[in-house]
This record gives sequence, C-alpha cells and structure tokens, in this order.
Amino acid sequence: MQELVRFKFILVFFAFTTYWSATILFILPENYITISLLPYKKAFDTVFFQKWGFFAPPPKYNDRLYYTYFDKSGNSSTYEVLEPFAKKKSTSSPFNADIELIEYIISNSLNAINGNLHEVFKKNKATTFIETSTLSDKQLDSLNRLIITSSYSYQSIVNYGKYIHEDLDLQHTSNYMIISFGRKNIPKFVNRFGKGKDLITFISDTISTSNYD
Amino acid sequence: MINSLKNASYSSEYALCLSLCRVFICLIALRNIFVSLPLFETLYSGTSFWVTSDILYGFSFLDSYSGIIRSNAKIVIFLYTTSLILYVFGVGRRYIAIMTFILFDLIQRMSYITLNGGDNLLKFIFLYLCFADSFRYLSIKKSKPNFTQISDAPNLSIFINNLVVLSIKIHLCCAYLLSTFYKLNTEVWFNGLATYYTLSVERFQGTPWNQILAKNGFWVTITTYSTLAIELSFPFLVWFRQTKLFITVATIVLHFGIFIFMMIYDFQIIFIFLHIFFFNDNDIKSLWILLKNKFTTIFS
Repeated sequence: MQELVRFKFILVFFAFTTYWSATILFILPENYITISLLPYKKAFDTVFFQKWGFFAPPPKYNDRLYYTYFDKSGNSSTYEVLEPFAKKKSTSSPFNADIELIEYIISNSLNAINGNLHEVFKKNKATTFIETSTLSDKQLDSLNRLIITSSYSYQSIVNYGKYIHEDLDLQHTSNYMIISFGRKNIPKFVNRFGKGKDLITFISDTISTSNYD
Repeated sequence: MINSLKNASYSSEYALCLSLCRVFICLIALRNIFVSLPLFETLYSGTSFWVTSDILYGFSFLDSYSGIIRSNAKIVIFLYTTSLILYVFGVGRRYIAIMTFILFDLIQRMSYITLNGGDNLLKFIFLYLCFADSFRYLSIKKSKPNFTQISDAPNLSIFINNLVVLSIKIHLCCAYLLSTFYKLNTEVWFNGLATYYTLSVERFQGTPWNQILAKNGFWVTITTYSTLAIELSFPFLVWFRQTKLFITVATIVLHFGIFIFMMIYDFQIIFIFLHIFFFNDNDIKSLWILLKNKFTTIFS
C-alpha cells in the first residue's frame, strides 16, 4: 500500500518535471536544440503554445487600410478604417471592449498579410518595406499574389470592405472597390517633433462589391 | 530539495489563494464572453466578414468537426457559460474544472484572432487548476482542511496543490524572463527608446498625455530601462522574503502603467492578480483585515 502511494507521488513529480522541462525548452527563442526538435515543438504547441515577446520590438508605424469605391462613371470615394477605430477606442476607454474586438480582427488580419508581403519584399531583394516603397498588386508574380490574395486574412479584409459598402449604403452608386494597405511611420526619436511619412505598400486589383456569403 | 518535496506533501499554505484564483479566472472569462456577445456572428458562428481557418488546428482527425462546432456556436457558448457559473460556485469540482478548461480552449480557438498574452496565460491557469483542489473556500461544498491544507501523513492532494502553485509561479517568472530576452534582442529596447514607440502607436493611446510623454527623452529612457530592470529581476527577487514585496510593488506599478497608458486591461489585471501566489493564505488574510480596518476607520 505504501509502495503504491510512493509510486503515485513519483508519477506526479515526474509529470510535473517533464511538463516544465518541455515548456522551458520550447518557449526559448529559436536555437539549435529547438530547431532540431521542430516536429516535437509543433506537436507541443497545438495545446501548450505560448510566446512572451510583449512589444519586442514595438511597432514603428501605424497601419492604414483604405477602401476606395468607384461608381459607374469612374468617380471614387476613399475610406480609411483603422485610424477612426484607434480614435474611437481611445475616446471610449475603458468601455471599449466591443470596438477593441473588431479592431483586433481587422488589425491582426492586416498584420498576417503584411507578414506575407514582407516575405515577398525580401524575395524581391528589398531589405525593408520602406525601401520598396510601393509595390502594387500588378508587380507581384502570380505565385506570390496567390499566396496573399487567397489567405483567410485577405478574404476577411475584402469581406470587411463589402460590409462597409453595405453599411454606407453604396450599393446603388458603386459596384467595385480597390483595397490599399499603407502605413504611417512613427518618426525616429531624433525627429520626434516632425511628422512620419505615409507609404502605400499594397494596392489590390479591382474587386466586385457584390454581397459576400 | 528532498526535504522541500516531503514538506510539500504535508502542508499547503495556498488553499485560499487557489479558491480566490478559481473565482477570479471564472469572472474574467464570464466578462470576456459577455462583452463578445454583440459580435457573436463574427467571432463564433463564422457567418460574418471574418473568414477563419479550422478551429481544431493540430488535431487533423477532428477537422470535419470544425464546421459542426461553428454552426452550433450558440450551444457551445451556453455550455461554456453554464460551466463557468458552476465552477465559480465550486459545483462539480474537478469534473467541471476539466470541462471548463476544454470549453475555454475551444472558445479561444474559435476567436483566436482577438487573443493576447493575458488570454494565453488564463488558459494555462485554467489548465493548472484542473489538477488543484481549489474548493476549500468560496465553494458551495467546501473541501476539508486536511485535504487542502495540513495532513499528518503524506497527502497526494496537498502535494499536487503545491505543484500547481509552483507551476503558476514558474509560469509568471518565465513570462517576465522570456519577455526580457526578446526585448533585449531588439534595438529600441537596448537603446532605451522602446516606450517612445509604444506610447506613439495609435492603437494604444490610453490617455491624451501619451504623445507628450513620448516626446520627453528622460521619461522614455527611464521607463524603457525600468521596464527591462523590473522584468529581468522579478524572476530572481520574488523568491526571497526580503525583496519579494519590493519587486511585487514594482511589477504592479508597471502593469498599472500599461493598463492606463496603453488600454490593455485584462492582460494587466490577470498578471497583477497572480502575484498573490507569491504570498500565502495568512498574508492574504492579514491584508484583508488591514484593509477592512482602514475601511471601517475611514467610514466611521
């Protein structure tokens, strides 16, 4: 009986040490050991994923997301959605949970696309986003274009454009849109009293604004 | 080491802390689900603009269930809310604890795009509490003291409770330490400029003073290096009686700063709350009596 109790204690302690050994190993920044154990890390992350790099590094720009709606005669109206979200979130703080949720969906979808775009820029031998300045959809090769435009994040951004189109009651005047991603750089600290540059990093093809399912 | 392990199977000083933690995480989760309900269609049922991947990623054999779960999102939310309410009152004890953890994980997978570090930490606390007996206090059917606090013979339940508390402490320390590792690897933290950027980002403009403070070089340098110093020293200083209170107060001030200036609320509240595990039941009771006396004095 006493042996069984001792066995239970040992088993619990073994589970505890195994869990913490694996956790500490897999949450460390990428290194030789974690890279060589990548398949195990992926399995571990399905349940125990964690990453603790709060604002490391902090963003050096504010994202911009523009929807430009065109009517039949070619006139256009452009709406930027992220800046108003940020302002609304600040003014309604601390009771801003609903705005924050929508803002998270849009911003995080955009971040995911920007991650893909960053890879495209790297392949095009641009060292940073800023150097590339503007890269329109037409300049992307077909494979890269497919990677970006077929992603769930991109589809969500497109759907949101259609949602706004509906919300603004533009159905009768316009039937297609162009989406642009941009960023307003936060100036370097030495230039902190100046204004940051605006950049456009992506311009979509024309997209039909017919209802999404 | 062996003596510490032996002692850990005889007595636990965290029955109240664990009970408070159970109630706290349930209330936070209930609050989160309540504020997300206006966006139910977008976040959970998948019938709005947000297009999402499979909920059960990593479990390929369950792929076909993702659609079924989304189309029955109302049932999932109902079960989850019920489970949380039962868990708050300690009904169903560990069975409800496990069910709550599974449903919590499912809800997080359904709305993963809105999660932050606080939500991630909360998931692990739900997981750890599945193993603990957190029903000695604030529970409809309370655990007996010898099951959670003190025993004449080695007691497995007490031993597990102590390991759960230790896990929460290690988790918090890992979060701070890893965060410092990542931060020190970036130029802006190393050069003392990081808070200039964090205070300048539009998404996190908690106060009208953010922009003014961001332009003050002294403020930026001091707050950047203080953040690093606090996060780096916490995992070491918090284990010693002489330095514990100092570093706890410092981290709480840091979290309040982020709370106010960056509008990141849940994240900070969860981190601040979990500091109670670095104290024990007697400390919490003493603090409660102190606050009660102060309160009575003020209002009498």
